[in-house]
Amino acid sequence: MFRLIKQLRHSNRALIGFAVAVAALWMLVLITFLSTLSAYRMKANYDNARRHYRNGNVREAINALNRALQIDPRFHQAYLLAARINYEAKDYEAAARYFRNAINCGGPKAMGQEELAVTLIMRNYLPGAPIDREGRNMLHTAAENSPGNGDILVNLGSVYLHEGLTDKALEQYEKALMTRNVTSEGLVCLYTGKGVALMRQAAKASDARRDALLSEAVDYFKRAELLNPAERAAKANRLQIELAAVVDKSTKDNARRRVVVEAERFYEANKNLLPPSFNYVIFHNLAVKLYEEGKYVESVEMFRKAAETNPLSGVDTFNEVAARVTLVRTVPLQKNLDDTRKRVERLESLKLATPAEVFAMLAELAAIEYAEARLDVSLEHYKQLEQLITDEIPPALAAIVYRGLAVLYTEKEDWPAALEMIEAARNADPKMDDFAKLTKRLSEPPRVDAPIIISKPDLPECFRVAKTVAYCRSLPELLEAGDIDFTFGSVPCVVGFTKDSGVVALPRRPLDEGAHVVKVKATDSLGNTAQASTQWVLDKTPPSARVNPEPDSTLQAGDDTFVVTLHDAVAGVDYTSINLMLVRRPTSATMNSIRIIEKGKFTLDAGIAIVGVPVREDQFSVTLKDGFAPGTYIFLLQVSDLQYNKMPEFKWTYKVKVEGTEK
Amino acid sequence: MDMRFFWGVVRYCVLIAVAIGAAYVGMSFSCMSVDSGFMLMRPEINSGQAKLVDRLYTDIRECNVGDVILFEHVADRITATWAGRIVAKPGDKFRTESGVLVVNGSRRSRGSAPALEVHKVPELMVPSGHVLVCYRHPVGAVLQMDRFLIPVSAIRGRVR
Repeated sequence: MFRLIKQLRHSNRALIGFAVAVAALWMLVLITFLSTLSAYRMKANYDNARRHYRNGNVREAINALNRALQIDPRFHQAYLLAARINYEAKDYEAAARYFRNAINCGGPKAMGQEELAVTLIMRNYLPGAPIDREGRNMLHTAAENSPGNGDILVNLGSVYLHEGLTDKALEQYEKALMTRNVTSEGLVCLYTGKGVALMRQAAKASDARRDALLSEAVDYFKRAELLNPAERAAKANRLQIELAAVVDKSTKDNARRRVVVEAERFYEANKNLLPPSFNYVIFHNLAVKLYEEGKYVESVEMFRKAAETNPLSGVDTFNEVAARVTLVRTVPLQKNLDDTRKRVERLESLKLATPAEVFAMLAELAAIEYAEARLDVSLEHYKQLEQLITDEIPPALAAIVYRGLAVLYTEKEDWPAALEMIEAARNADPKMDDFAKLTKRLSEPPRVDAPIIISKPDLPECFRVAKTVAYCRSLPELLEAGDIDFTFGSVPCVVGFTKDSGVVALPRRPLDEGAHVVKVKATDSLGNTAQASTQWVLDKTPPSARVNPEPDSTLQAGDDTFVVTLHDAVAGVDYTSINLMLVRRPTSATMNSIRIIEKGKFTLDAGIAIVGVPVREDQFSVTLKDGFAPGTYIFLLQVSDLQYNKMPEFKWTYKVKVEGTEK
Repeated sequence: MDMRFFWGVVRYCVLIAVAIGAAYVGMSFSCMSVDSGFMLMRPEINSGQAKLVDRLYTDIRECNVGDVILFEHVADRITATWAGRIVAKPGDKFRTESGVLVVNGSRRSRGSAPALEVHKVPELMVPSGHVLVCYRHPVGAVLQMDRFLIPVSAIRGRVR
């Protein structure tokens, strides 16, 4: 060895070769060292990323992974971890990109494909929408490439379940169980999916089989919950089944109140465990059930709870209003008005725009206004609701609106419109049969009181008939129908109406004096009739008057009294019309006139005290306080009877002289 | 060959082999203190005992039913080392029936999993990457399966 080195010392070529070899060796050592160092740094970054991720520092974890990938862009484990972190953060685009990189860089193909497929599916996932085609195909490919991977089969089953292929989903789940290779998360998903599939089968099964299937579904949900107590979907579904059982049992027992109590108890016990969407489902279903059973009070409460759990869903507000509108007819709403108003304000603030929401808002407003007796506004809103009725509006709700209109038209006494609305409501919902009260009222005849007839002073032949039609209905409408007939005996009348619901009847020809039977016959626009009659005597004879002492008598000075007797055989004297005037008097007399303003009472326009004393019903005496003064007195008496027949002016003269002399 | 040189080489080789062996043993086995033992277990393990465990026992394929293991038990953010016995492997189906554990259809003797036997457990499959472990778990009213299905990553080793 040493000899060889000694020989090489003497050879330049050998020396160069030796130097190259040593340099190469050092290079090799250096490269190895550097590569080891970079691998170490890469691994360190990856471990840091895992630690950060475990501690919840997602941003720092991603940064560490990016540093690792800068060192080695084909580090597939870093891609996988980055993809999973982004998946957890619901950034499915980035997650899919990282998964693709991981597969391209030689990562585990089956696992990568499965996770990529799930990511693609989740990226475009919408309840009820078709599954992402690329993700679905990739899942199928992954299942073919890795038939022993149970998680892939579970995901495939879930895809089928989403697509409504329950049997195929169950088949995939069974296959997954057969592989005996399902992760914990996969098992939870499997048990939950199997439970859901059984629930769906139960929905289509007969009564006898339904209970068994639901029981089995509950069993699977419990398994999922056992494996992952935080699994909400399984818990929610299990609780839904249990709630349905509670409701069914209470309903079968006809325990109306218990249904609500049990549901509320159930909700209170589980509200923290259930996702909001599920609470919504519970209350929505319960409310619909209660509404269908006619338990409107309970259904309103349930719809309200459903709307509270999902405030942006207008459906339940809409339904609640439907229940409320129905309820308006049965119970007073006063206690709920404030709540309702607040909710309407909230709906308005949300600027809801769908027809259902607008419909709901208006219906609620109309219901409030009806309850508050603001009929005009309520009617206006119901009319708007009527305009909004389309095919999208359930017929039962449309019928409720029609009925509301019918009720309001009845209140407004618009009978033909009310009848039309009742007919529309019945057409919309043949089951609606609570019009009995309304139609009974509509079939009632108008209430007609016996006429009270007063002759008018200015129109002797026109008779004002008060209180003829006491029933509160639209008189103009009755007038248009011409359906009030007045007859005085055999003489028909022209009928007019006054603002104060009175009727003026003018006989078509002059009536004879004497007794008449006055008949009034009212017919409303619905054909209901009623009539009333009264006896009435027409008086055309004015009253008559006599005085004692007789006219033109000669009185002695100092006399102070004379008596006036009035007579009207038929109508009677209108004592308020008596007017006694002193037309002429001696200059020594201080009295000008006597005015009688009321039967038995007198007043003097000159303020001289003359006291009138009624003697009988139709007589009164006039006493001059200071007595008659010598001279000539001329009196004038005006009076009419109660049918405004005026007595011709009755004027008489008294001459007064001093006893023994004639002045 | 010089015999002296030969024995020198042998001595160095033996020394290196011993060092490698010591390193392997050091890496493979360690002595761990058990925080919660299992009185019904054979060998009986009591709390506070120190046990030699096989630290390289982390591959699920090496796990066998009946192995006594030490594993990390996390409760209330406190990590402790507990001892337990594997009663089911990944893919095995288990349930309880009349207070007896049934694994893959075969009934175990009563008392083999006392914490599980008090509950009614529907048939479950042991997830991949997990083993079903029975240990002296306090009997609680609520059954938490994650206390019994132990991920392989939580296994610290097999008791030798």
